[in-house]
Amino acid sequence: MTDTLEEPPRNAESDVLTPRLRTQARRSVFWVVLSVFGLAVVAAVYLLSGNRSPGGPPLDPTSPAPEGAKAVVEVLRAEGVDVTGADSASAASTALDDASGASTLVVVDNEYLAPDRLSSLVAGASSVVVIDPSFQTVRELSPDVLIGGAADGEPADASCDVPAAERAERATVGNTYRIGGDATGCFPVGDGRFGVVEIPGATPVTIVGSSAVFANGTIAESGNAALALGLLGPTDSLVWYVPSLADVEADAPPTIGELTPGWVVPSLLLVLVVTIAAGIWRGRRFGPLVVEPLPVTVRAGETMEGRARLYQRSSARLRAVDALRIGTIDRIATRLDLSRHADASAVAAAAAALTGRDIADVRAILIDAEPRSDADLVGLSDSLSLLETQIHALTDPTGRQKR
Amino acid sequence: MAVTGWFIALLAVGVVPVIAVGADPARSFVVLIGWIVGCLVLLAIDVALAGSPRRLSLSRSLPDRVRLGEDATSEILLTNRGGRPVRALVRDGWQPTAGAPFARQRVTVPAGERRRLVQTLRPFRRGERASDHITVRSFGPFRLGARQATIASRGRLRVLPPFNARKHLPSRLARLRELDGATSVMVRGQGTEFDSLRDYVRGDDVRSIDWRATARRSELVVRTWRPERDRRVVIVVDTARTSAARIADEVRLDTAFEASLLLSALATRADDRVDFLAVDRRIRGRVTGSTGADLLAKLVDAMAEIDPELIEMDWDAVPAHVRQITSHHAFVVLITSIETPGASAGLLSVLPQLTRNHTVAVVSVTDPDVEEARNDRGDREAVYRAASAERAALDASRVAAAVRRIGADVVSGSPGDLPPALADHYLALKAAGRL
Repeated sequence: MTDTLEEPPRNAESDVLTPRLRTQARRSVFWVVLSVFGLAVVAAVYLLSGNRSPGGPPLDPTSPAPEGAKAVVEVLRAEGVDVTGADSASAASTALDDASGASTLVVVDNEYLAPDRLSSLVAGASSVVVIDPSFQTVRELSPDVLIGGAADGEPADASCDVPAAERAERATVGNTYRIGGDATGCFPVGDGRFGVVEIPGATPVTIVGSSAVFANGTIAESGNAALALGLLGPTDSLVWYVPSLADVEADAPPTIGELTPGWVVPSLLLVLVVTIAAGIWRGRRFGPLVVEPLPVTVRAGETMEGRARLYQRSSARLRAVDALRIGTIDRIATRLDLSRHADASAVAAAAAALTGRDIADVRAILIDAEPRSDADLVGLSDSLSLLETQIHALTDPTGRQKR
Repeated sequence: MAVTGWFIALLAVGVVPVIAVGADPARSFVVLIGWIVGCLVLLAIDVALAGSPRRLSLSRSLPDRVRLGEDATSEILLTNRGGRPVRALVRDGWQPTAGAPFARQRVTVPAGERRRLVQTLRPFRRGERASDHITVRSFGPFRLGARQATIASRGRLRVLPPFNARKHLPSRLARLRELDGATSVMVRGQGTEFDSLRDYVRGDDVRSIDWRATARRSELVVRTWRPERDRRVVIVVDTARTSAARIADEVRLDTAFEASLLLSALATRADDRVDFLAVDRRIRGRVTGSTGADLLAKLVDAMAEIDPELIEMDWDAVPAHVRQITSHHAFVVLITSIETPGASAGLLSVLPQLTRNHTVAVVSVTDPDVEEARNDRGDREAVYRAASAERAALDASRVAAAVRRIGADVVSGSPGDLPPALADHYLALKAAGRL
């Protein structure tokens, strides 16, 4: 099958429809530039709109979200307080050590806080504010304070001699605490429950039951702002400690991630890569699609079927049976060689005479009977068929009677 | 660019070293990344070493025409003008109904040589089938990746109507020959032509005896007649809306073409002149002034490209079209459908103009399903269907009666029966001298 080449084959390069890589790259330059530009715009908008999107942890000192605490922190900074954020106990204690002079520690209680490490932190600060502490945290802070349950969220009057509370006069109350010993309670909500509790000692600890007092969204309500600033403002430096994942201690029971062998994740990644590559393998089209205009074709029987369904749905029995009768009468008349102008009664009479059946019967089948139900219709149709068959049996194709 | 299954397999095998390195995640990651990069490098080398499909030059050889249902052999010559052999998978971009085999063809073309690819096409639809391009995927020596290029190469194959009805032709031609030279058993019409005189033999019709010649020769002499010749047959095929209907697996238009082909083949052997017109709102196909084998070739060529259009037939223009072809008496065959008086109003309104000058036959395909539905009275639904079928048959017979009243003949039959029925009708007219 190998031929030698007699004539130099003409240059077919121009016939190749697939663009070269270079051409493709040149064509897509516009889109690449456009998408890079779009990405740049998105990045710029993101940077300009504040570096943190809403949705950080509650009372996050850098979050401008309603749940965050950026407002109070910024006000304190403007007043000259040195505010340091900390996301772990070790970071908080380092910050406390670094701070010059008196420093206040704010602890936002959440699920990452380890209560047993709180006491060492408390010892390093000159005053401590604990926001919305849990049962365990409260027990760790002082045996005199007990959890009192949630209040109804209404502001309460200060009614105590803690200076910050006195200046605030009214503030939002969240969780409440019952007190004993030498602890002082403020913002009572009846039957010995208080929204803010001060525990005196080497380091005074103030428990604030409501995070709403500090949150951006609610700090402007009643005396919340005054209470927050009064509690946090007195010292030169402030450490704002929001416990996070970094607090999870290393000696916790091993997680699933630590239990799985080292090759599992790389293997899964490889499976992912193989899947994508297999998609490229199977998805690569072997040349462009081929189009072919096809002519329209319609099933011819559709109008007939449609009409049948219409008869049936509207129960047009008489119309249906009349159609059958016209056909049958026509065929009987042809078979019996009757004139084309013979009317139905004449055909009925001739059919009755031939078959020897009662003329009234044959007339009923061919002309008179009206079907009242679908069963009648089927019965009539059968009678028509039977009559036709009888006449066929009794005559030969020329219309003469047999015998 | 394309990758092969081998490349995927090679990537997947990477799971072995990843697991073998074992417990240390950092080392596993290094192995993983190393493996993927290694695979990609191999792929790049393989693709770089593959012979360029762009350096192939192609030439096709292909028959121009093929009858529907027959095979056509398509040949492609691939010449490798590059410096490396091309191990390729080739796809010829035929339209689906060209009936190209689905399997791609594998071929290896060494550098500077030429190879031939042979493919059998079995088209399953009438019309012009095209292939505009050939796609070549050239694999590298490791079979990991391939270069792919689509090369323009125009192939055209005209698929002609099958003319299955030609099986009826021999018997009709035999009947035609019987007409020739026979003594006219009919009342002599103006159409039968005087042929010659010959001696009387027993069995000849006594009415054919030429008494004047007998008196001269004192032997009984009869005149013989031959069928009239050089009559005109004008076939008008309706390609509009109703011709798109599919009856018993055949589109009405295809049946019309079969019938036209059989009639044309017969008429041209009988020395009549056949003109063909396919019309809806415009003339879709036209064959005039051809005879013999040339006529059939031109007819199938004209028919190949005609598909039904979903528009209404313009009957008003038909008399003018016929007048353009001939101003003399002709046998005009209108192949259309007669279904309901409403739908046939256009046909009925122009028929008188045609019947005034011509012998007209209205040819219509009937649906065997209607006949079947009419006789099926099994249950309630079947009875309603039978009633509907009876009504449809009644409508058609009313139109047929109207057509006959105007003076045209009606020829109808199922798709298989219609072509011979039309041929028989033509023979009957010819024998009667009515053409």
